[in-house]
Amino acid sequence: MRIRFIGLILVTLALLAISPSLHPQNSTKPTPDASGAIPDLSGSWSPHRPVPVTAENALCGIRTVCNDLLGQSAGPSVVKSDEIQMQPWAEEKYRAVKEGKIRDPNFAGCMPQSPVDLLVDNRRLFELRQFPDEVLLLFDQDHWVRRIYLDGRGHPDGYSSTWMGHSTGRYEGETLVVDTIGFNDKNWLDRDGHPHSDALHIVERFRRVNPKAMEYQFTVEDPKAYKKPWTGKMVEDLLPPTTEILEGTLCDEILQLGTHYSAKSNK
Amino acid sequence: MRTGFTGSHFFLAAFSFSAVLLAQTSKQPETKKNIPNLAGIWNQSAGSSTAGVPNDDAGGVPFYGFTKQEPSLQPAALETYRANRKDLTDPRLKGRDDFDPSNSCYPPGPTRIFTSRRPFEIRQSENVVYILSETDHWVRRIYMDGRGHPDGYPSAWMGHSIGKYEGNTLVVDTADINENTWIDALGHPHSDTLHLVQRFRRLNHDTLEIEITFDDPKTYTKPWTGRKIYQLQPPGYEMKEDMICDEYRTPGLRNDGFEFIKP
Amino acid sequence: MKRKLFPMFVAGLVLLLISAPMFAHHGGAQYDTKNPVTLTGTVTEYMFTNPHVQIHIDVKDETGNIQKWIAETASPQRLFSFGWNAKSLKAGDKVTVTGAPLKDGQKILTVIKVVGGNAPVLTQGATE
Repeated sequence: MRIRFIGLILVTLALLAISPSLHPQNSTKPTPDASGAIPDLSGSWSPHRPVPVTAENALCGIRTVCNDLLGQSAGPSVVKSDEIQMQPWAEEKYRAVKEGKIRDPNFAGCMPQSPVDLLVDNRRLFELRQFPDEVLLLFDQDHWVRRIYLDGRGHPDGYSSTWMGHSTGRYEGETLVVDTIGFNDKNWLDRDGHPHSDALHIVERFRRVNPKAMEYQFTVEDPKAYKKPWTGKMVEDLLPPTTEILEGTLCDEILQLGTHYSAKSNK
Repeated sequence: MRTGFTGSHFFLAAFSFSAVLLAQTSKQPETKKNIPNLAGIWNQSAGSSTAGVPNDDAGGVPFYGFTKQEPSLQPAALETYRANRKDLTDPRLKGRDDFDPSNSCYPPGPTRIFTSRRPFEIRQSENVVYILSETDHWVRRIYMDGRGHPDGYPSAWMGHSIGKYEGNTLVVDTADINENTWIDALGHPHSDTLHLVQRFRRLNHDTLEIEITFDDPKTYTKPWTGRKIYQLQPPGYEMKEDMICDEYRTPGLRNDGFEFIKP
Repeated sequence: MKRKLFPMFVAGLVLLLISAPMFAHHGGAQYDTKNPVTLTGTVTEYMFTNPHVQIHIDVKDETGNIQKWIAETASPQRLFSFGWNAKSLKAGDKVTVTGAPLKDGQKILTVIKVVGGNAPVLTQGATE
C-alpha cells in the first residue's frame, strides 16, 4: 500500500515535469502547432544597460558627459563573446575604427545598424511579435522591420545586398533559432565596430530566461572577414507593457524640400 | 483505504498547483471576440496602363490618388497643389518630382503609402494593429486598447493612430501628422492639423477596401472621403526591403560634411 | 532601392552648402564637464524631435546683452517615457538649465537638469 502511494506520487511528479502547462503560451497564436507549446518571447525589449536609466540621468543626451557630471561609471560591457579571429583586412579595419579613423556608418552615413547591432546596442528598443507564420522584430531606430519566416521556406537564390538580410526561423523547445543571410557590407556588425563582409551568415537564438529577461545569442559565420565563427551573447530586458515606441527616422533632421542630401563633392 | 484517499488528494492538489502555474507562467489567450481578419499583404491592382502610366480604376479613382472628384481646396492650398502639378498634362501622372517630398528623402505619410506601387502588410496583435509598408519599411501602429491621442504627442510622419472594430470594419483615427508629406502621390497637400478616419474592410478573401475621410480645414474647405480597393498578394510573395535615398547614404555624408543637391 | 531620379534634371546644382547642420553632433570629450554651468533665460524655440530634444534659450548676461544658447537633452523617446512631450516647454517660458558647455566656446550645452514651463523635473530624488 505504501508502494502504491509512492508510485502515485512518482507518477504525479513525472506528469508535472512534462506538463506543457508549465511552458508559456504565445498569446497571439490562435492554436498551438503540432509540436506543442510556443515559447512566449513577445513584448517590448531593450538590450541591457549596466547603468539603468533613472530620473536622475534620463535627461542627459551624451553618456560620457552624464557619467562625468553625475559621478557615475559607464559600467561593464555586457556583450560577452568568445575569441574573435579576423582576416588581415578586417583586423586593419577594426584597428582603424578603434583609433577613431573610421566613424560609425550609422552616424557618419545615415546608414542602418546591422540586425546584430540593433540587438546589442543598449540605446535601442524593439518589439518582438509572434504570429503563426512569422516573427516580427520592430526596431525603434528608423522603424526597421525584420521578418523571420517560420514556414520552413529557404533563403531565395540570389538574395543579397540588403541591410537586414533574409531570415528564416524555427522553435527548438524554449528557443527561437533564426538563420539570416543576404547582407551588404556597408555597416558595422556591432557597437564595437567589428567589420563584416557580404558573405555574413548569422545564426541567432532567442530564449526567455526569466519573466523579465531574454538571452540573445548570435553566431557570426563570415569566412571573408573571420578565420572562424564566433558567438556573442547579450541580455534583453523586458520593458513595461505601457512602453510606447515612438517614431524615429534616421537623418530626418537633415532633410530639405526640393533637394536631397549628399556627401560633399568637392573632395 | 486511507492511503488511496490521501493519494488521490495529493494527485488533485498537484494538478491544481499545475493549473495555478499555468496561469502564472503562460499568457492565456483572451476570450476571443469576433475580430475581422484583415491580415495579409495587400496592393493596388496593377490594372491597365497607358504609356507606362497606370489607369484609373473601374470607379474612376486614380492609381495615385483617392477620389475621382477633386476635393475642394482652400485658396493657398490650391496654389500649392497647382504648383505640384504644373505642366503635367495627364491627370493620372504623379505630382512633380521637384516638389515631391519623397524625392527629397522625406517619409511618405500615413495615407500616401496606400497610393503606391508597393504593397503593405496588415498584422493584428492583441492590442495593436500594425500596417507595415514596403515603402521605406514604415510601421504604423494602431493602438486598440481604448487610449486617446495623448496631449502633447510629438508630430509624427505617420501620425498617432487609435482604432476599434465595428463589426467587420477596423476604424482608425489618426492625428498629429507631420505636414511635410503629400496626402497621395498626385501631390495633394495637407497641414499639421490633418485628421484622418480610415475604415478597413475585407470585402472577400482577396479584396480589402479602405475608405479614408480627410478632415483638414486649413487645407480643404470641407472633409472629403476617398475609397480604394486592394488585392491580396499571391501566396509566397515576400515583402522586399526598401530604403529611401539609399544611394545617398555614404560614409562621407557626415565625415566630410554634407550638402543639399537640387536634382 | 534603385530609384531612377529626375531624368529631366541632368546636372546637379548645389543649392545650399551646410558645414554645420542644425543638430551638431559633438563627441562627449568636447564638453567641459569640469566647469558645468547653470543658466536662466527665456525659451525661444523648443524642438521635441530626433535625435536630441533641443531647447533654444535667450540668456541675459550681466551687461544686459542677450546670449543665444542651445540646451541639448536626450532623445524624444527617452524623455517621453519620463513624462515629457511636445508641450512641456514653449516659446516664452522661463527656464533654468544645468549642464556642461562645449569647450570651444560655442553656446551649446548638454544638460542634466531643466526646470521651467510644464517640463517634469527629472533629477536625483525627483519623482516623475
